[in-house]
Formats: sequence, structure tokens, C-alpha cells
Amino acid sequence: MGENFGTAIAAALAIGLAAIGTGLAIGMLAAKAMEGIARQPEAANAIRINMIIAIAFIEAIALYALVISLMLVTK
Amino acid sequence: MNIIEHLLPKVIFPIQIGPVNLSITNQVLVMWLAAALVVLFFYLAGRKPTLIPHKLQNAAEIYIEALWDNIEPIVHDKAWLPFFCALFSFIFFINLLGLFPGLTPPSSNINFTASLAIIIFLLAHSVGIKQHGLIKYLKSFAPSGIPWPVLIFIVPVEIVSQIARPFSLSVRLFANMFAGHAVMLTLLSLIFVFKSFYILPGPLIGNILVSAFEIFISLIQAFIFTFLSAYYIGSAIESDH
Repeated sequence: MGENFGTAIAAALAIGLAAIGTGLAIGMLAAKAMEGIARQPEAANAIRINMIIAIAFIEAIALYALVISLMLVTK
Repeated sequence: MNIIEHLLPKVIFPIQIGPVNLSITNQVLVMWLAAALVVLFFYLAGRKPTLIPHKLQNAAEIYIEALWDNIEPIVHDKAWLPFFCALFSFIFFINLLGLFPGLTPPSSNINFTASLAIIIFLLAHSVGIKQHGLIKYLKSFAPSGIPWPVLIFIVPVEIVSQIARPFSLSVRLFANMFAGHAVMLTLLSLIFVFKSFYILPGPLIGNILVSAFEIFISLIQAFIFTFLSAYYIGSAIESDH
């Protein structure tokens, strides 16, 4: 085990686990949004803009983990 | 690590005033170019306004109206429109200019996004204090009509969430722009890993797709930043929990 073993494992785990949660959350959100649009096609624009805002919030959480991962890799 | 150094700013003209480093980097030049383009776009659009708009005025009207339709339910005062339009246009043009080959967007630098987030944070709190007075604004951290044992938990949580706002705002924009360019650079560095040019179609198609996705992400991230700053400023202005 080299000197950077723990750091490498930590960097990979950080972004990997965050990606699992983010993928599930955005998938559920998009599914509900599709259901809403299918129910009422006139509300498609409003649903779309709100869905995009919510996706940006969830993605930001995964990107916090990415920042930690990058900080681990470059130090 | 020599991959990361392509994503960091390159100093073009070093200026050092004591302990403060005010060098002109390539990201500062992109920032000035984006600001000049924003001013040029809106100046040319508003030059000879007619009732039935000509082409550039039409584009600017659609632009501002699309932005205001989303910001208006949060801040009801139309005096905020120039500020949010300037903020959105500045971040959007900076993000878009980063897609040109050779230009690095300053929003992939944490200093730029943190400065913007600090400005929004100070602006929101000072507008709230100016509107309601200092004591009443500090009291709004504790919502009314809640029994006092619950209040001991609510107030620190509220204060922490207020402090986390500029952090999340800055890191969101920074990480989105930085990750976009890092993905493009990683795809290109596959050529060096395989040490041959025969795999060139792979990274090429990948970079084209990532660039197309980055156009969408630039718009979304600029809009999210503007929308969230409008939300923070709006919730500080009304502040009646």
C-alpha cells in the first residue's frame, strides 16, 4: 500500500457515494415531473422551470463532494 | 499535478502592491471582455427604441421579460430589475465565453464566485436591516408563535443555514464550471494515456457533447445564481415568518 492509498480511496468514495444519492434523487424528481406533465400538459412550462431549479439544488450537493474529492487528489 | 494546472489562471501581467496580488490573469481579461459585451449588447438594443421593436431590441425584450417573469414573484419591486439583469447577464456571458477555445471562465475560480456570493450576502442583510431596523431584523430569526424550548433548537439551525448560504451559492457555480472544463480536459488527456492518435474520434465526440451540455449548464447556473440571490434578498425584505 503506497503512501497515497488512504487519500485515493477517500477521494473515490467521496464522489462515488455522493453520486449514488444524487442519481436517485434526480431520478425520482424527474419521474414525478414527467407524471405531472403527463397529467396536465398545459402546465408543462411551469413544471419544467421548477424541475430545473430543483435539479440544480440537488446537483450542488454532489458538487460539494466533488470539490472535496479534488482537494484530496491535488494535495 | 500537471493536469490541474491547465485549469488554473495564468498570470499575464503581474501587479503586486505590498501583500495584495492584483495581477492581470487570463481570467481577468475574459471578465473584462464579458462585461464589455454585456454593455455593448444592451446599449445597441436600447439605442432607438420603437414601439414595434426591431431585431436586437426584440431579443433584449424577450431576454429581460423571460428573466423578470421568474424573478417578479419573489421581489415585487421593479427597481430590482436592472440589478438582477446585470447579474444574470454578467454570469451568463462569462460562462458562455469560457466555451471558446483558449479562454478560461473566471467562474471556474473560487475567488470570483466567492466575491459575488459575499456581495449578495451583504446586500441581502443590509437591505433587510435597512427595511426593518436592526432589532426587528435580528428578531426575525426566531419565528413568532413558537414555544420557547423549541426556539433553543430553531435559532442556531437558522443562523447556520444563513451562514451556509454564501458558501453554497459560490461553490455551486464554481464546481459546475470547473467540473465542465475538467471533464473536457480529462477526455483530451486520454490521448496522452494511450499514446496514440487513433483514439481521437472518442475524445472528439465526447468534447463536442460535453460542450453542448456546457452551454445548457451555463444558462442554468447563471439563472440559478440570480434566482437564489433574488430569493435571499426577497426573503430579507419581507421577513415576516
